[in-house]
Amino acid sequence: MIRLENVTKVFDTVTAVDRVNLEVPKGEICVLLGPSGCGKTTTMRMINRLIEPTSGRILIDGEDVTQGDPVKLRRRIGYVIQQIGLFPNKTVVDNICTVPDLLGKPRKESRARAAELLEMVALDPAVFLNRYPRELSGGQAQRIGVVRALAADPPVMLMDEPFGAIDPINREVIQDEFLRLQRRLGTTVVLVSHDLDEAIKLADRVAILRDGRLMRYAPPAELLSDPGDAFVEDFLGRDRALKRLRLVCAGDAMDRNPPRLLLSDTQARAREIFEATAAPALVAVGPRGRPRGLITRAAADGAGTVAEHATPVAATCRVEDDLRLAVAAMLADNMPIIPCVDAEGILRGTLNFADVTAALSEKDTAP
Amino acid sequence: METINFAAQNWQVILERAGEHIVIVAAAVGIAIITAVPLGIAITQNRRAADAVLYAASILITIPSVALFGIMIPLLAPIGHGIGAVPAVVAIVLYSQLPIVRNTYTAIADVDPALREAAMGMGMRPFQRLGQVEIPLALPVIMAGVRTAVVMSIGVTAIAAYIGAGGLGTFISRGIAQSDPRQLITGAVAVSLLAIAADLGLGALQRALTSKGIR
Repeated sequence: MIRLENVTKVFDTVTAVDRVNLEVPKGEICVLLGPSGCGKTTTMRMINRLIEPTSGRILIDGEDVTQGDPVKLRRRIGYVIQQIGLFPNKTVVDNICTVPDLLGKPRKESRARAAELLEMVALDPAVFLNRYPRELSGGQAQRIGVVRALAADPPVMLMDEPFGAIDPINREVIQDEFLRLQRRLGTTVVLVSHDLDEAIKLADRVAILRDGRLMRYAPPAELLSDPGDAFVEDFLGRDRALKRLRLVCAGDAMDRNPPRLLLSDTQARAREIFEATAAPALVAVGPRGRPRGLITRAAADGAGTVAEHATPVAATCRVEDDLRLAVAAMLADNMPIIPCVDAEGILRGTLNFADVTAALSEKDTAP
Repeated sequence: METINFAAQNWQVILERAGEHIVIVAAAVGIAIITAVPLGIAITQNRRAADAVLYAASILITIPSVALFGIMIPLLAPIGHGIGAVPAVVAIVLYSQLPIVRNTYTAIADVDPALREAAMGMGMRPFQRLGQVEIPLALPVIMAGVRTAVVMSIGVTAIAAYIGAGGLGTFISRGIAQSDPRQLITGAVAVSLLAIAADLGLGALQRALTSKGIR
């Protein structure tokens, strides 16, 4: 657990950080968010004393870290910077083992741990351990930067815009990997970002700073549904409702027991179902339960089978996808309803726009 | 032809003189490395100190070597070394400061600040940072400065024959004094070959010392 008590930093005459109080529970990710010059990086760098606070206390697991040797403190805290900063003269394995080596840990153990950590970020140790940083792609280097920070199993990790320099596609992948790794190791993380989407994706709590002051400290869902003041609202943007789509997965919003309609059923059966529900359209399944067609209320007339009148399924979403992906697919393919499937492609539920609205308003009332 | 005969007949003397030459250069550049590398690193901490030191070193190197030898005769005479190898070594130590200090300073100052921050953030002490990151990265440029110093020193040592320092310059000074082209050419060629060999040898050493990751 990390606790900041009335932490203040004054540079000459400028107050960069002004009486910030913050508590990050063990194993959580706190994202410090704000416009440039808001004091977020200064706040983070005071935790490992790359910057010494002017006043206030910083406690890690109850121990005041503003006293004692800063070098020993830093060896207990993982540190990742945007430029990555892998040492070009050292191999990947020696880079990863930097802190264990500084701590004088047995080489064999730390090398074995390095290989283990590399596997956790989907890099083959046999290929990468003896490479030099210049032989890595940007994404590989950033993964190794994260692994290096975790090599000595620090309880706390500080990250300064760690995924800022990576292209958007790789960024999502690396963020997901990082989340898995962080959950598995239970590391407490303080991460600086200026990217709201990144904060929503990664944070358990978001701290919004402005001119050195903490404006708001709340879980992302709470922040988006209730910004609290005009600055925060403005910072979150007028499309903040859309951002909330990321926080809900399709499986939680979908109708789990949609009316069962087979592609081989008659149109009369479809009309019967439409009379009993308000759904704008129905998903018809094949014999094994895979979505095979969509039929709208208007198309459910006349005789014959559903198969003759249904349109093909243009897109499906996975139950674990977030609502943003589901809604994007619905909009792209002009679907009033989207089938939600599991890994085998079996229909698990359906999602329409009313379900999405309901899910978001539920979040509103949740604590 | 006469020169080749001369060289063939006197190869033992040539080797002996070359040995003296190498000892003077090695001792002087060795001392220069020990003094100039730490100085180059130290001045990265302060811009004004860096300017002052580099300025002083630049002035030193403009003094003609013959003049420097002349100045040192009265200065070193009280300790009995007004002439000979000692003033030669002192002169070379002074001349070598500029290439080595300047290259060390530039190379260390050019290390990516992100690497310095990463090293600090992970808990390296300043000397660990120097030893593990900054010096290994600066090494090729520092070595280039040393090579410059060595080649220059081989030339300066040839002139030091005039103050009795020995070395291959002896052939040149005698060749001039005795109007003997054989000695003159032998000395000149030997000095050149020594300079080329030293530069190639140090180049190989530089490659061996440089990490594969930055080669």
